[in-house]
Amino acid sequence: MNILEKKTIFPVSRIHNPMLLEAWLEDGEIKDAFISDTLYRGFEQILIGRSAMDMPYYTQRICGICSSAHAITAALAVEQALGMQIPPNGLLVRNLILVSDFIQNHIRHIYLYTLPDYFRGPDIAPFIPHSESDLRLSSQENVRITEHYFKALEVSRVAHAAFAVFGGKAPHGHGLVPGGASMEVDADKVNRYRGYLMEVMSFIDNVLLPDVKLIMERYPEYINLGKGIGNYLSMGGFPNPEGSTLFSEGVSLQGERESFDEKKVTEDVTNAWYKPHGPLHPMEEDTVPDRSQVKGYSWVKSPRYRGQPVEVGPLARAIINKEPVIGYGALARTWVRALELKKITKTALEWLNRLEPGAATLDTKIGQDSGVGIGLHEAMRGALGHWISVKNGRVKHYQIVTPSALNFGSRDEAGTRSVGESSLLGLKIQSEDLKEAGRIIRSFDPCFSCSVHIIDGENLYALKIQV
Amino acid sequence: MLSRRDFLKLAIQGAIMGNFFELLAPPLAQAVGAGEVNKLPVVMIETGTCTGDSISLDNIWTPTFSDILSNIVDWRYDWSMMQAHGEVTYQVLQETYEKMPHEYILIVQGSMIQRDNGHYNHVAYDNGRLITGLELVRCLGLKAKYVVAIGSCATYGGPVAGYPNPSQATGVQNILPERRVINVSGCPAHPDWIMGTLLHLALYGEPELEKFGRPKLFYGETVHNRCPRRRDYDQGIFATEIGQKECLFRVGCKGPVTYADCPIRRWNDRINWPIGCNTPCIGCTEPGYPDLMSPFTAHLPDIPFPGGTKVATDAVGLGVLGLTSVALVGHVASSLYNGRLQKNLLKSTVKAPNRPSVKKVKSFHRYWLKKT
Repeated sequence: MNILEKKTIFPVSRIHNPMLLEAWLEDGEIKDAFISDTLYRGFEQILIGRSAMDMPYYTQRICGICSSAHAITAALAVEQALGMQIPPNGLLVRNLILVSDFIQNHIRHIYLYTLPDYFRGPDIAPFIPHSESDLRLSSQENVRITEHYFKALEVSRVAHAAFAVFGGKAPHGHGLVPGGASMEVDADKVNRYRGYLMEVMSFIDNVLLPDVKLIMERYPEYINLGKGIGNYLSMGGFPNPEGSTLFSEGVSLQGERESFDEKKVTEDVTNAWYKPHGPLHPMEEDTVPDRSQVKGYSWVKSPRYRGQPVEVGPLARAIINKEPVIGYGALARTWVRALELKKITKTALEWLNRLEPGAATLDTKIGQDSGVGIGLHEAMRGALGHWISVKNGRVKHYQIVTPSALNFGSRDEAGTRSVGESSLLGLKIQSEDLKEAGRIIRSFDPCFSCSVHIIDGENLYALKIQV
Repeated sequence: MLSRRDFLKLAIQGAIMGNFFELLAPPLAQAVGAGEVNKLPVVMIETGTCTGDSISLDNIWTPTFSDILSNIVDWRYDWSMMQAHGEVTYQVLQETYEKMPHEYILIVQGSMIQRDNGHYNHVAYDNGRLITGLELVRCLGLKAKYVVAIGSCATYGGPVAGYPNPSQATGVQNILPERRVINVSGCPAHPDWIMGTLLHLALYGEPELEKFGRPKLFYGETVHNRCPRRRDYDQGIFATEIGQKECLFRVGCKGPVTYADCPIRRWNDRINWPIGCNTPCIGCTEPGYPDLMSPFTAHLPDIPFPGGTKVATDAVGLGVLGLTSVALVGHVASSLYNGRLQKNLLKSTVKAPNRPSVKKVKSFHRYWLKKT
């Protein structure tokens, strides 16, 4: 009989909000892994009964690092439900707000969350206590990356200043409202946005891309270590006024492509701490927390597309967009994220040039005060969907499927693992603290504040694994 | 070293000029050099939060966050930044708790989740035992030199405690009645408010607090009183929809009941702020936020305060000038009651029949300041 050794890592740091990893090892190889979220806030219940117009503001409070993604998705859902139209200028301003938040997120994710896994920082907090295993950079390179780490802290706030030009403040901006964007366009604002964008662009070209390249050279095996399961999904995003989108929507299941259909999205709560129900479409399901569920091990539900777990994020977007990728593992995700950064800053400049000073950015006319709306948009870390039903201007039903739930959801009825859990299987571990697993988990850019519904798992795991 | 009086002066001057910390940093560095102050040992615990306050703090303009980390604070524990993960991080907490009692500052970000004795939120892992946020904050809080709650959630419950408050969330002061908690509210809190409060603690001890436990330095005046659109208000010129350049009072601005220095401090490189973006203030620094402030984009005739006072916002501007009141009353009559008010706004939200009862909501966002 094999004896599996259990290792629990909590908290997995440099992730938004608590993530608990429980790995079962045999001879230094991960045989099974459970990833759970240990915080429950119940946003979907809080939203019910509130004014639909407030949704972009309230849903932002789900997540501090991708606030504008929730705002835009909520706005799209409300607009569809109430029959609102966005003026073309408003669409561009909205893209500019969201794109600056993408830039902020990607820079912070790469420097603050991903790179500390690969270099040795100085002897000050937050780098102490150090995690010493498997560090391959020379001392010179370490110093350089450390300098860039601090530089990145400064540049990422510049991206948020660009956000504030049209968004009012960041995070949790005010500029994204149902019907468009609240800020008017004039030369002064275009000018300022442009200034901030230029500063960020030079950082990306001269610092960020070379740094990620260096890490890939030193850790080549990580380009294909921590692969997903070959299912990728993108809900599309950043529409241009003429109808095309920067990120196309689509699904690739084991290499077979098809277009994305929101009706095929289901959520299951078999292994999460909720009142049990089978796989249900977000429009039909409810969210009733119940910590006594013995099978539960996480607060994250298990969203599936056509019953299958899918990976979302910059890598999925690149695959759906038919852009070349260098691999499918941890550092490949980081590299694609860096390339996406370059791509979106370039596009942001184009959008900025197309802005029309003085033209309307907001149209608050509503067609009806009740209806059903679906907001689908790519967030920084992958596909994000808001499903809303409005009655007399108030929210009757609200469900959110977040990227981190898609990547790191709990197991479904059939026991199928999420992409995040699967990516750790077979991983050889040499370090004491499971650093290798941390590297792979962080490459997905998980954000558990976003997973909305979350709980605890005192030794419940043990029940499920019969050794 | 700076006197406390100078510090307060600089804070206000700095808010206007946008260089508070540039003014402050040299004397502070001197003080650190002369051994008058040590690098502040700080422990940041995240409970029921969106991490927005961490992100907001990263956005600090002067000094840079790099400077803060290298010269001002010893940022000992913060799981969104630490290089190490797992067990080692818990040892940092233990070491701080045992070796520096009454020296470290505990920062709490996020509301205290009370449901099921706090088991709806675990934040640490000690030898096979999961520790709840409630337990950890109480344990560290009792031995900290100061406890600082940052963000709306940590101070008064915030959006997480929104009706029907499924996680039974509340602010830190309510679970730490033994001691005074310094509240730096806001959704998220402005980085200057957070760092300014920390620096005040390092240099001069506890700042003067107002009745909801916030430093008067930053929360001493209403948004309304310093608002650049105040002139419009006084003359009765109101925006009828979001996105317009006039006073946003009639589209739901909560500025008259919100204490914060946003109008002069502004956000992110001081480039903009919510009202500058033609949207109403949503009152995110106040104890009743968000329930008593919502619908955010609807004008509410009165906003009840958890502290007990009921502020009739319609009456706030009255009496400044005879003319003003005439203009206002005229405006109220013509726009609010004839329904012209904010065409986009749905009628039901104005009447708000399903608005949670104030009494019920108050219990979620209650706040009692301990008299010391």
